[in-house]
Amino acid sequence: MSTDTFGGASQRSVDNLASRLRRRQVVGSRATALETLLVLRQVVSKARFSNMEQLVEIIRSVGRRLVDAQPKEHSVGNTVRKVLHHIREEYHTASGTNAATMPQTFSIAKFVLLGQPRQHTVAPKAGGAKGTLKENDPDDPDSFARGLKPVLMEAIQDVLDELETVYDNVSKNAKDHIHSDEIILTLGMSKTVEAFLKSAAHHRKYTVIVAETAPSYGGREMAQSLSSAGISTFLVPDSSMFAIMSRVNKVILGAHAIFANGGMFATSGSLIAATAAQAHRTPVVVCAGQFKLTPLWNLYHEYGALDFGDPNSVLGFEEGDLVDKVEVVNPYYDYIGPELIDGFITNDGDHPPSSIYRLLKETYDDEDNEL
Amino acid sequence: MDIERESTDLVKREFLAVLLAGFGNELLPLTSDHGDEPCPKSLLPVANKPMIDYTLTWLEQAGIKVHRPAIYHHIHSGASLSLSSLRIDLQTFDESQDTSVGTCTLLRHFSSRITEDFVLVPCDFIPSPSLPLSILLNKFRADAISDGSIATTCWFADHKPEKGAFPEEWGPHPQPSPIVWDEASGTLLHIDTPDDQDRNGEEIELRMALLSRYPRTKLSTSFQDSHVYVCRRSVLDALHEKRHFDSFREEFLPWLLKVQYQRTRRTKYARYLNPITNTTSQRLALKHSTMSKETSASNDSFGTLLSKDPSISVPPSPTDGDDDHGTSNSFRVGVIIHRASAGFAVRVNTIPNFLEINRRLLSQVTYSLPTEPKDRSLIDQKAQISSDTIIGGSTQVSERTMIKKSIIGRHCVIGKMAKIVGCVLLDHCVIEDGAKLEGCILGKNTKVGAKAELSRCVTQAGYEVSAGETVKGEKLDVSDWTAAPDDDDDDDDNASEDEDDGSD
Amino acid sequence: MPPKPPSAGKEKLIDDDEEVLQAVILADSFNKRFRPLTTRKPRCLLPICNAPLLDWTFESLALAGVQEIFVICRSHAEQVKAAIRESKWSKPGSGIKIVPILTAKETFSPGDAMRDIYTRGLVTSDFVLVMGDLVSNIRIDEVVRVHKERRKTNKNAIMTMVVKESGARHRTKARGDSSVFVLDPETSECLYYEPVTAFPQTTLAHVPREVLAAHPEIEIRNDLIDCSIDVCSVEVPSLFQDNFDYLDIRRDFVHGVLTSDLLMKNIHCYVAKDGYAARVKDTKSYESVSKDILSRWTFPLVPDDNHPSGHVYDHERGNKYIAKDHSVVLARTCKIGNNTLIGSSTHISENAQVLASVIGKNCSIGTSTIIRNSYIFDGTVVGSDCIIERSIIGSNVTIKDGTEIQKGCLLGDGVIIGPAAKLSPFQRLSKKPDEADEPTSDDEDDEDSDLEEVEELQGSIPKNLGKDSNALVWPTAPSEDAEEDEIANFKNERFMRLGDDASDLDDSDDGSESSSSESESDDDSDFDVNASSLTAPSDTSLPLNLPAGSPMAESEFQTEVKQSLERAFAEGHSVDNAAVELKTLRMASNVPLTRVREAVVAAIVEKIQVVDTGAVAQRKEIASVIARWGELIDRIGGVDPVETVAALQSHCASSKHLPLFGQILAALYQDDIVEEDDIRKWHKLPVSKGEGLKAKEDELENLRKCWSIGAHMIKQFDEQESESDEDDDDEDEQDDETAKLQSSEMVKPESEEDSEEESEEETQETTGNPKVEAKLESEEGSDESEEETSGSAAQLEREKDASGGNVDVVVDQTARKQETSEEESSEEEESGEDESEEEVVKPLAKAEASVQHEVKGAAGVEDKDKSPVVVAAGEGATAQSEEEEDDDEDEDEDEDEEEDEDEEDSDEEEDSDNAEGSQAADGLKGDTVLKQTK
Repeated sequence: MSTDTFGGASQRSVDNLASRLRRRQVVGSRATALETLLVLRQVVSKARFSNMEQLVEIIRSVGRRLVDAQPKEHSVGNTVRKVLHHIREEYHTASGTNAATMPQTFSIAKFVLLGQPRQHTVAPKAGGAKGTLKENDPDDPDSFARGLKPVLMEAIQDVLDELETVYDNVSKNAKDHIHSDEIILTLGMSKTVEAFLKSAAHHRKYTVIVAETAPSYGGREMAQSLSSAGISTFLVPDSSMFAIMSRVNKVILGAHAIFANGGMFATSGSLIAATAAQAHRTPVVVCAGQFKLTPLWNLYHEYGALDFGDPNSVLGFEEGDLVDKVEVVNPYYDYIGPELIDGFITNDGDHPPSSIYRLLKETYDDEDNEL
Repeated sequence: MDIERESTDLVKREFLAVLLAGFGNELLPLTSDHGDEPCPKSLLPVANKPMIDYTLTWLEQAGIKVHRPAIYHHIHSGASLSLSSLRIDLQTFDESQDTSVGTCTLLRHFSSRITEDFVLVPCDFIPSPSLPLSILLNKFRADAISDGSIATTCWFADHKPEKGAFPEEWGPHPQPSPIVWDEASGTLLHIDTPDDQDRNGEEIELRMALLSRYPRTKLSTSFQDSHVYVCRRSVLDALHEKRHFDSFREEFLPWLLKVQYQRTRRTKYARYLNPITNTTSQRLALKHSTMSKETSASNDSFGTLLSKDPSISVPPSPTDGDDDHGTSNSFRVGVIIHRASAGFAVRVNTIPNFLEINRRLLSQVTYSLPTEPKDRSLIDQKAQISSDTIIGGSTQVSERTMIKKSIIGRHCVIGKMAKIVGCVLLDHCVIEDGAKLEGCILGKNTKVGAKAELSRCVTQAGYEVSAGETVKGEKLDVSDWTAAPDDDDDDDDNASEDEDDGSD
Repeated sequence: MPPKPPSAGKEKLIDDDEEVLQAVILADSFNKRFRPLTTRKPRCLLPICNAPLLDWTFESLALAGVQEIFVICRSHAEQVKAAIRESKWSKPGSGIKIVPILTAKETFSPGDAMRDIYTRGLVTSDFVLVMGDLVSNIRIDEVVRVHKERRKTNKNAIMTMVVKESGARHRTKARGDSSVFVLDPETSECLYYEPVTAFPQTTLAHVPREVLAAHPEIEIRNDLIDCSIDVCSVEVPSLFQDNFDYLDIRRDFVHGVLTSDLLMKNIHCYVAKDGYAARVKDTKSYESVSKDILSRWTFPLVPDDNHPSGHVYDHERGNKYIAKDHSVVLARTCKIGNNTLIGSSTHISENAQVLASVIGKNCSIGTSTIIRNSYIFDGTVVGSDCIIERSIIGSNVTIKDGTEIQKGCLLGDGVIIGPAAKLSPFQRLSKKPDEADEPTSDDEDDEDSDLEEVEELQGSIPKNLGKDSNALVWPTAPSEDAEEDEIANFKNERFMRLGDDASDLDDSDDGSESSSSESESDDDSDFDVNASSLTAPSDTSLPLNLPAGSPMAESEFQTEVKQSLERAFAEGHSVDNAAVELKTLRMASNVPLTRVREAVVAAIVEKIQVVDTGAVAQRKEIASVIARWGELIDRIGGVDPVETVAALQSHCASSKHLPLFGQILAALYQDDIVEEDDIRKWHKLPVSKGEGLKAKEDELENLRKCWSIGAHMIKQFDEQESESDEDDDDEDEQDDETAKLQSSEMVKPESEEDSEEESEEETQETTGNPKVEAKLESEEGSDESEEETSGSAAQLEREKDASGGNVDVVVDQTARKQETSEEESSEEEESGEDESEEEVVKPLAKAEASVQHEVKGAAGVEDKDKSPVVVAAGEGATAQSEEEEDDDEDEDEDEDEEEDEDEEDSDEEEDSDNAEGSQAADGLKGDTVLKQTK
């Protein structure tokens, strides 16, 4: 990979992030996305290039290293792809050649949500640089970079803003999804879902049932924060999920990664909920930011996702002899197929699983799917 | 185990209490005879109630039949009349004060009459209200069913009297012996007996077998043995095997504890103390519940799961505790640790403790003068009696007498200008005018002459303090009361330290 | 490229913890459990799950945010350095600074390594000390934080040990050397540490009772795995420096610190709730740790996630890890079991089964070969139809077809066996050394020597290694250079051996120990080297050119001790320093403890010079010397009071201090160096009566005298027990007074010890009373008896005060009376003896008189009863004083001590007779003496 084209400092920061990713010291897809974005911004600001291909190659190389460092944290790759996408856009707008016509005109989302302003369509601000931008200038190789960099910075800044505001945007129209006196079932500790429910609570009066979500027991945390926000909350063991499903009006899940086929990775236990919901014909809605859209399919296990944690939370190390005789499998995530999901609520509108692939096409450029 | 509560009612007699009422040799001179009439420990009034009442009430709350080896001439004890709900049969066991015989011998002697699981209770254990007997019984029931435990006892937090609170003649504070127990499963594992101490004065020795069976144990010296034991009947059979044992706590119990983890003993004595072995699902459930992080239990479950035949025998080895644990019977001795925070319990076996418990009870009551007018009339209006005082019935208090923080028995006569602070007067005491009593315990019929001054003294029943004499920190026995005067002339103004080597 | 400011991430790393967190890795296993795997390669570079142990350790530390690591490496240091150079840690991005440190070849134990750390002054603040074979994901930084918090309040908390809660038995918990921790449940302070070995079986755990005094409730934990991650403060290395005999960090250092009452340091434990940490101490733990890694206990330190040496593995259901670069060739019919790791570009052919095993890179497994629970390093080729059970196969090994390897075998690198070889369980093979490729670096010498031994043994061992094998078979029986160390004895090692459940050892107790005397002496020689190389400034007198291992001649040793003690006396060292010095000496010149004790006692006795200005001065002299230096006797490494008395006796018998024997004994007794029953024991010994030992007649004589003096003392003890009623008021008030007197001399500093009575009057007021208090508080009978003896002493003192004036006057009178008192004394003597034998109960007065009396005789002081001792003692004193000068001048005063004795035999003889005589006489006059005292 061409690591020489950008500064040693940014090199170090990339390594640093890579090792922290590898050591799982960065947790949560949004946090990861933010970190990645910061690193990328630094890289771009430091990078030296004289034409588009070089820049793209630099960013890709960084992205590749980060993804290799932690292939299970999909938001890394997503962020890189998104940045690439934006940069291309900026480049095209800047260099006038309107190669990439925005495919948004065909977007189903457009019908779904009534003409909200799209996050990532930024008005071409770099008007000044238009025309004057010429690549591979022999006498002044940096002119291209100099001309483009401010625009690129803005582009990255946009992605950053989108990340910052993702929760608000997701929960923006929560009240349209949750109606009064409904009983909502959720599980795990998902910041997105939390924000969603809380914002809904401003307008509606409803009840939330939270499953403990062993072994992480994120559900307890969730229940605490919800009830502290004045929502009537019940905390139930996972085992009773099916039993209470008949009373539940809606199941709201968080996602770890959303795949192109409309399936997703979600915290382990979600699959039970989703299946139970299907058995009771209860709608399953997934709240997720767009940075979780992943141009991949679940190539791994059918039910458990790839990422397995340590057995410690399931079977204590102090159990002594048991450790020797029992094999413990502790997957972090369940894979939930598209057939179990009724809709995604993202920060730019609501989509059925079947339209995720379109969303992907808009969000990323196809050539980036393999970094 | 509340399921089993209904079996505690007297339909089927589940437990039988053996209540030991012996001489209080440590309580001398309070318990030494008054003339021909004895003053047994069990009848010493604590806050004007015979000590044994407390124990009997305690037992009664758990609804238990009492079987009481007592000294023959106590049968006419007014105590047991108050509790008619108990079926009490008094067994007399002749022993004389000097040849006091140990609990084990006693039990052997009465083992014919003890036909079911029994509770061994001393007459001098005054538990705190937060420690009902049913706690012990329930733990015993649970353990016995879950993994065949054979006994349950209770140790309570020892309260150290602050230095110099009591004169040294009142006897040293009994040194609690170190015990080792398993907090998780509430199992008593080891008692450091005196002869252990002789064997190795530097260190406490624990067998690795114990530590590998119960890898996380606690060791503490801050607990006293409430001589309360809930035992299986089968323990008596084992007792019969061990003829030479005399004291229950110092010899038999330590031996019993060893059976828990020493395979050889276990195999040897298993047939004597055969616990009930019901392989109910309940037991398995109890064992598999990792919520109660009972170490032995988890090992248990393994032993049983791995070895299809529970009576599998592997060569004894201290390092693998849970293999020889394959059998379902743990022979555990359960223990309830009653911490100081949970309330004050005490055994009234020393004079300091006697005074202590009296004071504590005083602090709970408020101004209990006798209620019947005829008794009230005996108490002079001009006598100033502080609110934390108990005065027994038909006791006469004359004018300008001051009484603070004291317990006055029944039928006492207290003269004028007397000053009584922090004292315990048993019945029929006579305090003549102007006597000053401070921190004293006066046995029955003690007469204190006019203007006599007693401070921190204990008198035998019927002792007479002649007028004007001054005694500090002595045990006054009728026998050598003549010795008292020349005793006190040399220690008029010395500190009590000097008196020690003066007197011993 | 212009230099850039450090990136944000980097800055954050620094800012997180204000000062750099240092770590020290002891990258040398100071044992040989992994041979022959470790003959060519240090243990810390052995791969576990295809990554060198050292990398795992680095990763563990990196997780904790350690930023500076010192790697202490001894054997194969070059390889370690190279490995570190190549590893990813030396890359700029790693944010960790790794400094390899090569220690001296004499580093034979962790203790030595610590001393080396100290001498190099590596660490500047609290640091993390780990072994080079650690696999852990515990947040050590948390431990460090706790440690520092504690340090803020309690400066004595020098160390925090990380322990992990496991069951009583755990596959990762070594049965060979586990340990029992005694903790304070609140502060988790470690109160006592007891190492546990499986063989010889530790059947009893001991908890010292004094611990209970400070902590009424303590917790005894046998369910803790010692992760050997220690957060140490800077003092720790210096402590090692001070105590040369600390070898192992746990068994010596921790145990020593906790048990020693002079260090006053605390060690705490950190019971890690979550996280994993374990050491690869031996082949057994190698297996268990591999299993733990494969079953993800070390998450996120797992092959598919954060593999230390950067391999990428695919994780499949059932914990199968296959290298991700699609270079692994798995035949369609091969069977890969659960918990298996397969390195990159490894080829597994048809019908082969790999179950619960680890296979390195570039290996190839033949058809229908079965590999179970085995660990195969890189580049190994296994033929077809082989069976490998629970073994460790080195790298580049070739196992030809049809070979069967039973459980517990270790195959060194480059071994070739087969075809159709059959290895019996626990066989260890290594490649025949061929001189061509031998890197002749000196640290391989010992290994080579081992190899040679092994080669010699080849003939004896029956083996079936196949025709074209190049392997040497290592003896499975205990090798003769096994250390003399309870952990490392062969049977105990078996508990740590791969696949060995050692069930036969659980109840077997045949003590065929592999301990031989010469190995001991080797060890000592090692110490000796350390001692000479690392001596503290305090003992410059040590001759640095000691003949290694050869025990010094006793006289030489004696003089050594004498010198060092004299310097100690002169420069007023603390007793501890002197003790350390003595220990060093002893280790250096490999002499039994008894010699040391004799030497010390001798030196101390010699230190007491005979004062002829009166008994008071004399006794003050003795008391002060004993009070200052007496405890040294018990500090030399073992406490054996009986022996002390014996030594005292024998020394007194052969020197001019004979008359002082009684007094010194009393002094020792009062300083609790000798207890009553010790004296009794000594008295029981036949030897102490001079029986059965062939010495010069007069020496025997003196011995008997000492013995009879002891007899008197004991008689006195008996009487104290028997009498308690007949003493009346003045008796015990006298006690108080005497106690005061006693205390007054105890507390008197050396400077004013030879001042007169009034000085002691005032001390009596000031310091006396608390002493009395103290005595009366305590209940034990021993104190009473103590008071009594002090009573006798002080009583006598008063007496002397009375008679102090007319000493010289009386001298000549007694000179005349001498011979008469002599014969009377003789018969009195045996009477005294048989009295003591039949334990006649006498009134206290007599006994006191008798003891105090020989004091008098010794001191050469006169009083009312005209005992004629003075002349002889006076001479003794003078001779003594001369001899003192001799000592100062020349080293070997032994010779002229001899001649002194020759010329003074007669004097001493009669002098001591008189001592006896007058004792007995006094015995009769005892009560009168008492009257005088009133």
